[in-house]
Amino acid sequence: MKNKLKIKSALFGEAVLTSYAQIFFTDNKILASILVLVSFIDWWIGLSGLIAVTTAVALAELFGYSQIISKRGLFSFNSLLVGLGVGTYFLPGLDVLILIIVGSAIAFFSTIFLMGFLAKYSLPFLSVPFLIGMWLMLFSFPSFGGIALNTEALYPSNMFFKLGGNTLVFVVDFLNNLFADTGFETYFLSLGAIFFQFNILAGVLIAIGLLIHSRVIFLLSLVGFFVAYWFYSYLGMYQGTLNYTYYGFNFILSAIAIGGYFLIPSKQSFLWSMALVPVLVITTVGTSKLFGFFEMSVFSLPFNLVIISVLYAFKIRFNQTVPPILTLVQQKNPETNAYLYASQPAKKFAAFTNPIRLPFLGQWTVNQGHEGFYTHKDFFKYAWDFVIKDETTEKEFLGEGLLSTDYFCFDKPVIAPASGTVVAVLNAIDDNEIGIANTIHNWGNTVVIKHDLYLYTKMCHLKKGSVEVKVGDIVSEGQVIGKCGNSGRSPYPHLHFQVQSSAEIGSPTMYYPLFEYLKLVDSKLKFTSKGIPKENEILQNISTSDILESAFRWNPGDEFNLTITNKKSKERVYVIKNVIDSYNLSSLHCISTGAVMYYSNNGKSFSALNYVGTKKSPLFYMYSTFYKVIVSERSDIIVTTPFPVHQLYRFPTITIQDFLVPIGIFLKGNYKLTYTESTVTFNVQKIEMNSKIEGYKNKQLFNSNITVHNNRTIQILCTNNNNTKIQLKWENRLV
Amino acid sequence: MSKKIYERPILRKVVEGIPNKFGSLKRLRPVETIDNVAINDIIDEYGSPVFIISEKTIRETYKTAYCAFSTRYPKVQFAWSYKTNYLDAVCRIFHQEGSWAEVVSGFEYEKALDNNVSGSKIIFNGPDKSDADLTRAINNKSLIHIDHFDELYTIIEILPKLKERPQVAIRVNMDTGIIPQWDRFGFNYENGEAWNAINRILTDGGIDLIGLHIHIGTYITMSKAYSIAIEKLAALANKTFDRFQKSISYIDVGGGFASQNTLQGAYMPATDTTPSFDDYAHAITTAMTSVNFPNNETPTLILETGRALIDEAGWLAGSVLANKRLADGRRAMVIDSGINLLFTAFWYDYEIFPVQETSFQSEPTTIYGPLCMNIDVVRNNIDFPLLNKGDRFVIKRVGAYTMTQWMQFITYRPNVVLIDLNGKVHVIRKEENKEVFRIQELVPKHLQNK
Repeated sequence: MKNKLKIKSALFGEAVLTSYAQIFFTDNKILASILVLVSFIDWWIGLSGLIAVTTAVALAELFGYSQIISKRGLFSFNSLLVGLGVGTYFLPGLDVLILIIVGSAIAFFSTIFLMGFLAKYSLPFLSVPFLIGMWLMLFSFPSFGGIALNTEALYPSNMFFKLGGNTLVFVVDFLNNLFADTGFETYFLSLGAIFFQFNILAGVLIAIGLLIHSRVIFLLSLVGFFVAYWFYSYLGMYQGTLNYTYYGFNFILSAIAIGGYFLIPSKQSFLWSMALVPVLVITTVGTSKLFGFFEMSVFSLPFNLVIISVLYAFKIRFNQTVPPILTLVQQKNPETNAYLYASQPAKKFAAFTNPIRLPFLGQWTVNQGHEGFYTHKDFFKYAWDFVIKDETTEKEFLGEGLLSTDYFCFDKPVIAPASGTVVAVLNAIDDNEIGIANTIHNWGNTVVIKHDLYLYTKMCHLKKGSVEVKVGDIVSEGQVIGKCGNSGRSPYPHLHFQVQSSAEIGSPTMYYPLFEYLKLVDSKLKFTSKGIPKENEILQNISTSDILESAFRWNPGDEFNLTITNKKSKERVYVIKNVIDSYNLSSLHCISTGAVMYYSNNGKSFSALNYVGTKKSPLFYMYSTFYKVIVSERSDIIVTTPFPVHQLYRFPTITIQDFLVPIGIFLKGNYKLTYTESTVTFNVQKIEMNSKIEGYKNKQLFNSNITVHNNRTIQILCTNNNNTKIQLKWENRLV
Repeated sequence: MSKKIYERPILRKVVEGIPNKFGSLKRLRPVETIDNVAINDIIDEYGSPVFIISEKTIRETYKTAYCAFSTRYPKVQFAWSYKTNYLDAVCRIFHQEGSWAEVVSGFEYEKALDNNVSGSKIIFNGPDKSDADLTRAINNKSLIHIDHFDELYTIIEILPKLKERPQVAIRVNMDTGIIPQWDRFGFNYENGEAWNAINRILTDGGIDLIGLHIHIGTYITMSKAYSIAIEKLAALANKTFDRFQKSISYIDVGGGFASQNTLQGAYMPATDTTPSFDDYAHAITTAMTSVNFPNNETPTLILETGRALIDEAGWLAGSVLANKRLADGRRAMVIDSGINLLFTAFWYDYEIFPVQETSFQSEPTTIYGPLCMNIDVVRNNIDFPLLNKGDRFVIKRVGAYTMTQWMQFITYRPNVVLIDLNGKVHVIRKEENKEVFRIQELVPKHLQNK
């Protein structure tokens, strides 16, 4: 019982606190604490906010909603805003307290409804629930006779005197004088206005909080605001209006949302955040005129209107691989988003996470690629045709090529490109004679496999009667499903392969990269992590090494001993636990230090996704060593990828880089993994690899010699950039 | 206008065939070049006779074969059968293409090492392995294919002296419905010898059993035979896994793929009847993928193809020594290359072509080699154009077994040249001379009088 209470109060504490930070799209606790402090500059406003947010968290608990979402403050931050608003407008009183709780409830239920409604379009609800709650409050206010308006905030000096005596009044006056009649005065006032604190001190504190939390967000708040400030004067509007309407925060929040939060911060996202300012200004001026008729403030309406519609426009773009890129997973701040995004081997395909691989064995040639010359047009432009060519003669057939059987690819096995369920099969269409295309049964003998929601692959023109699977069969990756043939619209034998979003034969193609394949370039095999094969490329799947595969196959609940030895200190053992969360995200937890390494393993490649926590844990060496491992049997491939720079560099280097993120990432960390050829092919006892991270001018920052044994233990000899040698040993505790 | 070719008078009986207004024309077109290099130039420079090997053909054939298997089965490895042709240059071409080495003697094993094949990529086959051979091969981590119990006992006996654990496979013979059954190599499946051998190997504890080897015969393309063979091997592998928890890493199906040389007595020419690599690949991989190996693993498929990979790339060019008429009126031609160079002529009907333009007439001819032996017959009966003394000919598809089974009998062995991918000709084995033999010979003192 006591324990339960403890968990509950921890949940409440966290949910309430992060609600404050969530207004700036983060759950950073330092920023949240500053914001709580700011809200309590006027005790009544602060208290109103706190009551409102607690009410919302309590409602979420009462309804049994997700505690994970609740902890991030997403159910309650709109209620917080309503609470702060009501507190600003009305004097303390029991009746107002009831109003706050009612307003909070309105905002809460609006949140729930909008969340459900907008989630279908994967759009955020932003502060629309707050608008609904606040407007309802203000519209209904004239009907309540017994409630008095709050005038406290109108006389800030009185307020500060009560709070901190002469000193505070002096500080605030100093700030006022310092920024008087500059854009910064308006900027700080606008920042403060987000928390209904119409004074400079609040603004300055919030700005400091933003800077601590994220350099990019701080920069964006300045950019958004000052572009708008300039635009006001450019259009001949009095900039001072921003001082008493407090609408400036619309520009700040919009710039943060577009420039750094919903998009990965980059040149493009910054340009977009600036380009949207004129739109926001017009929306603000126009809506405030309209709302003026009702003697009502528009609050954050312009921000909500513009951001939701712009995000929708970005999200329904057909090609998501061109910048600006939408943020897929939110990390702790925008610069981390940018660094992690940039440190992927095929970053533009980051949104594609389900592996789809080549549907054949051995080496085939792309005979027609995307938007091909022959048939890959319009709805069907994102497809591939594969054939087998003789390497030396470049011919697709032996002899004269007048018979299907002359063609190298004819009758060759076609395999499932990923595991899934067979949803459509055609198997009775005759194979054509060479040169004749069957335009009635366009696709010929076909297999469609469902891999995930809205993710299907289709293999066409198979040989009549060769299809070995039937509808409903569950196939595993690499399983033979049929033979390459010459049926349908196929004048000569080839394999048509496409990814599509529905189950029908004849569905339009979908843009989707293929995963982990080898490409023959100048008679050397080059590894591609994700890519769109182009015409005439010669491709093959990678074969996996049993040893590597089993060494990186960890079960949920597995516990490992990570032993670290270096010259100076004695051997120390850390216990690492493998955990899978409810989102199916795998991670290794260092029990004694609390450090966490997130990873994914798609069967052919092991990727360290993120590292959170102290770098003193030896788990960080695991992260650096195994940032990207292809469990390949071949030793002649090289895996290269950028390494996240925020894990490599410290203050102040990384802080300078943080500010430069909108221009580009200049710090270097190049991860490279090479394999040592095993002396034996069969009965392999161990596999040796080397990984290194190189910085600017190929300076070696980290080097690891890795030995993976067939009993699944791993030995690593690391060398840091200061040349200290560390020995690690990784072994399963349960074995 | 060039001078008309002289045509000596002949007698000829009318042969069957559908005549048209030009008569029944059957003419052997000359083969003047190999890879665009004139054969005449080669003979002029390197003497007559001369073996000519085309690097281009070797590489193309290998790639075709590899493609046929690798596009049907995920793990495929070729091992070059040294006994088929162990000229270093030839072996190295195969190794460059990715082939391992398959050897059957200490001598071949040494050759493979000299060709920079790492020990773990040498398969040591055959019934003849000395203690020293075995010790060296095991210490080099080579794959030992055990042929009989005595070999197994030898390995167990030398175990304490070895530096590495032996990596072995056993050769298994079995009834696959093919007659004759090749039961002289390996352990029999049906009578339990193979299972017995596996038990002996794995109970010992010091030996790793990693593969199974079969060779069901030559010219076999019946899928049925392969599926029976592979089913039986899979059963063996499963039984092994159940008892010892050891899975089999590879299945070696041997070689035995026919080349396009026509066997004597065959009704149809081999070019029409010989199965292609695709036919073999289809039969074998279908069998491999339809059975279940233990632990859901996919064993590597090893192929020891020799003949089919090299035969096409070898040519033998030479000159006519004489023409004569035999007692029964048949024409005979004596050429400068006999069964000393073409041991294989005993079972093949080799295709022989003139190197230069000939007259339109041809006559059934017996072609003899130069040896002073009655059995020295290269072709018993061939409808051949009328060549004169000194004219040149070329024999097609002589890459396999000729340059390993040839003998130094009566005369020296000739030059072997290789035409590389750029059309450049290299001598890869020098013609022999008396010094070659003098070095080997010792004359006892009492015979050394001058």
